[in-house]
This record gives sequence, C-alpha cells and structure tokens, in this order.
Amino acid sequence: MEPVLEAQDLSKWYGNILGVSDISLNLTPGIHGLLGPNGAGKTTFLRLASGQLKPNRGRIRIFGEAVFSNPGLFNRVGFCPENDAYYRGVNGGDYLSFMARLHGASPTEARERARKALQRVGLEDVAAKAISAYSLGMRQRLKVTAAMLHDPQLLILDEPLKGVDPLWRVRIIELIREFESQGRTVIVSSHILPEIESMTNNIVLIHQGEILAEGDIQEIRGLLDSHPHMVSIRTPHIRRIASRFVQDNHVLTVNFSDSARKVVFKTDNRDHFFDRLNRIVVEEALEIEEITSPDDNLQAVFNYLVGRK
Amino acid sequence: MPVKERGYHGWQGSLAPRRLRWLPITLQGIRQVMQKKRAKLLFFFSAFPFLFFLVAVYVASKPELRFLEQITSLIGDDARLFNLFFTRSGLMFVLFLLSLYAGSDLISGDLKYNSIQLYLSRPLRRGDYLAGKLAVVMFYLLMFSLVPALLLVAAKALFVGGWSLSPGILLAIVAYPILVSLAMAALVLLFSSFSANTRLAIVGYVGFYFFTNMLAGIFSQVVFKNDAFGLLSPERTMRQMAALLFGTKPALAVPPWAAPLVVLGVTLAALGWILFRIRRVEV
Amino acid sequence: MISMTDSIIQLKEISFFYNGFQAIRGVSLEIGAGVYGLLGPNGAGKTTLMKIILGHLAPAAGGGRVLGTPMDAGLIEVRRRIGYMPESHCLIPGMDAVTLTAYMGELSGMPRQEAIKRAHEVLYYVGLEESRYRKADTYSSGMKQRLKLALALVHDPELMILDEPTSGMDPGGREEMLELIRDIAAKGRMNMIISSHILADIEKTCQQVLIMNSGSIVSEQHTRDFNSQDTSIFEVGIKGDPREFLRRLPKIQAETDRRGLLRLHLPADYPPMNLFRDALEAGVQIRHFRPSRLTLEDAFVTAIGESHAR
Repeated sequence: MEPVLEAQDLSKWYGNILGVSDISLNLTPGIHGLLGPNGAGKTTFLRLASGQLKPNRGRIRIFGEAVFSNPGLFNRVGFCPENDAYYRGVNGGDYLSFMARLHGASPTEARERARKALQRVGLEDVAAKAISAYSLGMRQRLKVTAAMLHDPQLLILDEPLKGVDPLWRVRIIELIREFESQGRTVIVSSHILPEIESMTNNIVLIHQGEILAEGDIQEIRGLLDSHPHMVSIRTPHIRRIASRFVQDNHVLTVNFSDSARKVVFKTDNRDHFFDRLNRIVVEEALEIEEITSPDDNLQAVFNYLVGRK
Repeated sequence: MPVKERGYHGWQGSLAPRRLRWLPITLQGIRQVMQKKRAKLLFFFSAFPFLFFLVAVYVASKPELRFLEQITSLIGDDARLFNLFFTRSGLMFVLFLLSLYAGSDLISGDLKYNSIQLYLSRPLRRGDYLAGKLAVVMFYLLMFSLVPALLLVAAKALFVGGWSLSPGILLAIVAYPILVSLAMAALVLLFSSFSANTRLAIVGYVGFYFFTNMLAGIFSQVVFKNDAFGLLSPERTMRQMAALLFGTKPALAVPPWAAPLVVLGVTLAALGWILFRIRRVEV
Repeated sequence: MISMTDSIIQLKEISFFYNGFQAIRGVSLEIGAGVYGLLGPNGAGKTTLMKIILGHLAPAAGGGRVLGTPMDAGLIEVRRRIGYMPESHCLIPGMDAVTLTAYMGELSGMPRQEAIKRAHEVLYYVGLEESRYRKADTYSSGMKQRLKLALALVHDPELMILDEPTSGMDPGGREEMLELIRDIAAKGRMNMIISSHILADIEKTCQQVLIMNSGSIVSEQHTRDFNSQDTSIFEVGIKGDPREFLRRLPKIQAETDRRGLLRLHLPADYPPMNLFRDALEAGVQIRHFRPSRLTLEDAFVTAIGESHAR
C-alpha cells in the first residue's frame, strides 16, 4: 500500500543548528501520534511536512508528491498549527467561509461547510462574534475544525488540545477518531501522552533530530531489551507468589509494596513468566486482585528512550 | 545528627508582617536602577547644579573674591539662594531626566512581563505596590534635590560660620523637593503604566513635558493672554510653587493657592489612575 | 503550621457577578487537608473562585473562611500562607532566578538572608540548580513553569493553589512536575488545590475532585472511588486465541475495547478466579487482569451532562 507520508533521509538545518537529521519514515493510513521533547525536531518536521520549509537534503512526499512549493497538495491536506494567530475583526463564521472558498468552494457551499464545521466543535452560538473575543480553547477548536473543513485525506494537528477544556478534549479526540475511521490519516503531535494513547497505538518518537522509534507502542516496548518488563500483581499473598518466582532466572527483580498489597516483578521473558504465573494461580488456587504491566505504556517508552536524568 | 533526606523540606521560620510591606520593592528597584547602563554617568552630571552652587556659596563667603559681586549678594538672601538652586540651576531638568531614567520602565516592564500577577499573589495591596515604586523614583529625585539642598545648608553654615536660616526657609527647603519629587514620580509612573512598551512610556512622558510647556507659553502669552494657562506647564507651576514657599516674587499672576492645587491635583489624579490600571490587571 | 483539624477553606453561598453576569452561583464547599482537583469547562468560574479565595475579588453575597480567617476581614494577610502558581507566563524582568525567588520570599515576610537561603533550596528542589544564576527571562517554557513552582514554595505556605501546573511542558517535564507535586503533598505535608484541563494530571495527583460548571460545583468525587469497582466487570488482556477462551466461558457478555482488552461481564455465580482456570485449559495466557474502573473522564462527562440537563 502506498504510504500516505513518506520521508527519505530528510534533513534540515539552520546554519549550525540541527533541525532534523536523516529522517526516513513511511506512514500508512490511520492515526499517528508524534511526540518528543521540546527542541527535538518535532516542529521542524511538521513544518517540512506542511510545506513551510524546504529540506536541505533528502525528500518528503505526501500522496506521492513532493510537499514544498506544491500548494495544490493542500486540497488534500489539512494543517492545524500550534501558534495562536488569527485575523482581527473577523468573526468565526466568516473566517471558516473564507477558508472554504480558498479551497474552491462556491459561496453557498462555503457557508454550508462553515456552518457544519462550527457545529462540529460547538461554536455555532458564537459564529457571529469576533475571533479576538473567543477564549483560547474556543480559538483552538476553531483551528481544528478549520483544518478539517475541506475534507482532507491527511490531517496534521500540532497540539490540537492546547487550552481546550476537559469536556471538549474528549469530544475532539472522538472527532479525530471518527475522522480517521472514514479511511483517512491523521498525524497528531502532542506532549500529553495519555491523550495520544487514547487516540492511537501508533507513534513516532523524535529526539535530537532523529526518529528514535516508530510503530505500535507495545511492539516498541517489546524491543527495549535493556528494560525488562514490569509486571505488577495485587494480591493478599504477595510474598507467597514472590517465593514461587525467586528461583526463576528470568525474573530479574522483585519489589514489594506492603501498603498497596502489590508485588512488582521485572522479567526478561514475559512468555515464560505468564505461563508460570497462570499455572501457579490455578494449581494453588491463589487469589489475585489485579495483574497489570505498569511500564507498558507510552510514558514509560518515552522515559526509557529519551531518558530523564 | 539527623540526616537530611531528599524531597521537599518545609521552612521552620515564621513569616512576620513587615511594617513597610512595600520596602523590598523599593530596595530592589533602587538596586536595579543603579545597575542600568550609564547610571553613574547620569548621576555624575546630575550633581552639577549642586556642585556649582557649592562653589558659589564658597566663593560668596570669601570676601576676598570681591569681583564676583553678584554671587556675594546671594549669600545674604537665603530664600533667593535656594529658590534659584531649585528652579533656575538646571535642577528641574536634571530631575526630569532622573525621573525618566529611574521610572519609565518601572511599571511598563511589569506590564510586559506580567509581573503584577506575581506581586499580587503576595500579601500586598495595590497601594503597597505603588508606594514601593514611587519610593524608587523619589529616592533618586530626593538624592539629587533634598540631600544636596541640605548639604548646601551645612556648607553655608560651615563657610559663613554661623546659622542664619529661618525656620520658614528650612521648611521650604524640605517641603519643596518632596512635593516636586512626589509629583514627578507620580507622573512618570503614570506614563509607565500606560503601556507595556517602555519606549512609548518615554515618548509619552517627554512629549507631555515639552508639549505642555509649549502650550502654556502659547496660550498664556499669545492666545488667551492669561497667566492661568501658565499652569499647564509643569515647570512653570513648580516654579510658581517654589516662589510661594520661599516668599519670592512669583512669575505668574495667579492666586497663591493655584499652583499647589494644580500640583496636588495632578499628583492625586495620576496615582488614582495607576491604581485603577493595577486593578484591571488584578481582575 | 498546618492544622489538621480546621478545614482549609470554607465557603457558604458565595455569589459573584461580572458586569451583571453571574459567574458564581451560591457556591458552598468545604476543603480540608489534602490535594483537591478543580475541573470544569472554560467559563465555569474556576478562575473567579480562585481569585475570591486569594482575596482579589469580594463576593457579592455569602462568606466563608480561608485558613481560618473570615472573608469579610480581608484576605490579604492570608496570602502570606498561600502559595499561588498562576497559569500565565509571569516573571520580573532583569532578575536572575535566585534574586527573583528571594525577592518574592521577602515580599511574603521572610527576612532577607533567610529568603536567599531558602531560594537556593527551592530552586535545587525544582530542578533549576544549574540555571539559578541565569536571568529568568532566558528560561525555556518548562523552566519557567518550575520557577513559578519555586516562587509558590519559597515561603513554605500551608496551602498551594496551582493553575495548570504542566502547561507548555514536554512529556518529560510534565512527568517531573507531577512527581514534584506528589512529593510536596506526600505525608500530608501540604494542602493543594490544582486546577487543570488535563484529567490525567488530576487523576495522578489529587485525592478529591471538584467539578464546576456554570458557576456552581456540580460534583465532588474521591479519586479512591475510581478504584472501588463494579466487581462483576473485568478487563482481561490475553495472549492467545480469544475465541477458544471465550468458548470455555459461560454465556457472558464480552466486548473488546480500543486497547485490545476484553471486557467481561461476569455473572454472580461465576467467581472471577475461574477465568484463570478456563484460560489455562484454552491454552491462553492472562497477562492483564483488573476489575473495571470508573475513570475520572466518565465521572466528568456524566457530571457536566447532568448539570446541563438540570
């Protein structure tokens, strides 16, 4: 299947300052979370992907076409930037109609699209108010719906939920998932990892100008050999269960939390571990309250790869 | 000995309400002004009126230097001496420059960087904040007006040998710089509070000074031929007030209460506006 | 001194109007020791409520106490014992972090030398030790957030009010900030009110959550409640063929959620531990097992939905 977005040895630098270095990427339809520390190259990458910057080396293609100097491409791509910039003196409804017309809609069609777009994000009541009077969250919602206005095949969103209140955060995430379920592609960049996780399992992690990891979060986790998997078991018999594993060479550490009634194991072979665990639970009729993998999530992957302190 | 572990530790001291809540603001402001570019240069030139008068007093007190007769006559008349020092020695201009230098960014800087929110999260009233800032400007203004004046008093006593100052004049010597400094500080802070852009504040303050001076001259001399318009000009108003305080002949033909009223009125209005501006940030 | 018996904030029937618009409607609440979250849509009145607690706004009606001081006595002195971390970017130009932090401490009533010493200490604590002599306006946005936390901590308050503490921070910074907040509040050392748009942050740090909408408090939740569960629904994650597994279970309702976990509605006569037996027989490994929990997100959406219906 042809990738929606394809980058090959993509590099961009500003004098001495490195933006991104030799990035190669193939993104298929679906939702992709883009994450990375500040200054990692995420913004540069997004600017390259949205045609604001020209690569110094390598190439980046969307739907098989080069991005830079290709305005026609943006009939199929919607972009929601992070910065809060808006025209003064224009109201929400007119702004969206204007955007729709820029994409080639007729005046009536533009009005209709604008109306639907406002409804999508709950701004229909303030359509006639100037954008400068909107709260930050409302302006953000306007930006998101403006990016979706022309029904693009690829949606690129940079921190779409910044300043948005909890109610609308949930709704916009649903909106994005609904959008994608129609066969489209979304790239969402965000610092708030639990929200990326609620949207998708596929991520692209950028750090120091390079891609550190790309793909399914759990698969990536599985590849981190230097970080054995944690398994947390909440049970009244924490020490009894622990004693069944202490002699197992695949169990690397055992930690107890008496107050939480939890025992946490680190193992380098989950298959072996769970096999044994399931057996022991049934054979000895042990009571288990909870089994979880505390570091099988995006924050843990981020910490392991980007390494705090 | 107990070991100090990692993690958050509280502070065992107690927080005492200070009598002058705004004092840290003033001390910090004074320090910051001194660290500005070319501060020392400005202070050096600001001392000139004082130095000049110091020399004049010395010369006048020595009868040998007879050829400088005009200066000698000054010594006899304290009121005229100090009136001249305060109003005709270039001190007014010096104070104007100092107020601009020390005060133009005091509030505009806070507006730009949103500092007022930080101040207001502390146990400070709006008035405390304003008092603290005023005191910064007044510190420098008084340093170059009241302090030199008192030094001149001491110098005169030293050179002439004897105390000849009447209590009325002494009161005027103390009151005038304080009133003028307060008014100027209030004005510069008013302009500083108009915008987060310090340059605008500077342009506004300077423009105000020259513009009002110009208007005063035009209206009082040409258009309306009424001395009352002279009060539009800060400088003339202050000179008028000095004349009143020192008992010398006033330049403008207006009732004696006019000038102090204008000074007081403008000062209070400026302070009121600044407090209003701060309130807008607060809520 | 943190008093454990007095409540921290008591509000009775507080109302407030902005230009005729009622921003707070008859809010009564009692905030005790611990960490409280404050959630709500934009315009719900959270910021107004915080301003009333800090004494910047006087209520049009109603009254109460903050840290024992009655509201009509004026709350300016109470700010000495409150640490406020505002949401917006704010700092004082031309000062380095140590000077700024000490200055703020002095303004809260600390003697100068003490303030300087304590400034160093809190800057170390929030992770700015290497940049503490740099001018604060050169800081990155993550560093500015930490600095704001330091400014709220320097005078060791009894109550901290944090407005969007992780705003603008990258994933690493957010995690560290939440860790700092948990550390500060650990062992009951500090009382806090945290206002945030990010439910995950509130879940991680707060014990109680107040949900506001249209000027009223519409719901109070204990985050502990999110662990007390509906014990008949379980999330189960397996490795292996789910069909084999499900075939062995009695006729039960089963759904797969977005993460690929099974949600199983177990009947009363089927003890949950039997799942392990059935899994073993089906040749399937259970790798995730948890009674289904109500999330803060669910509670929030319900609370707001209900308040709209009212």
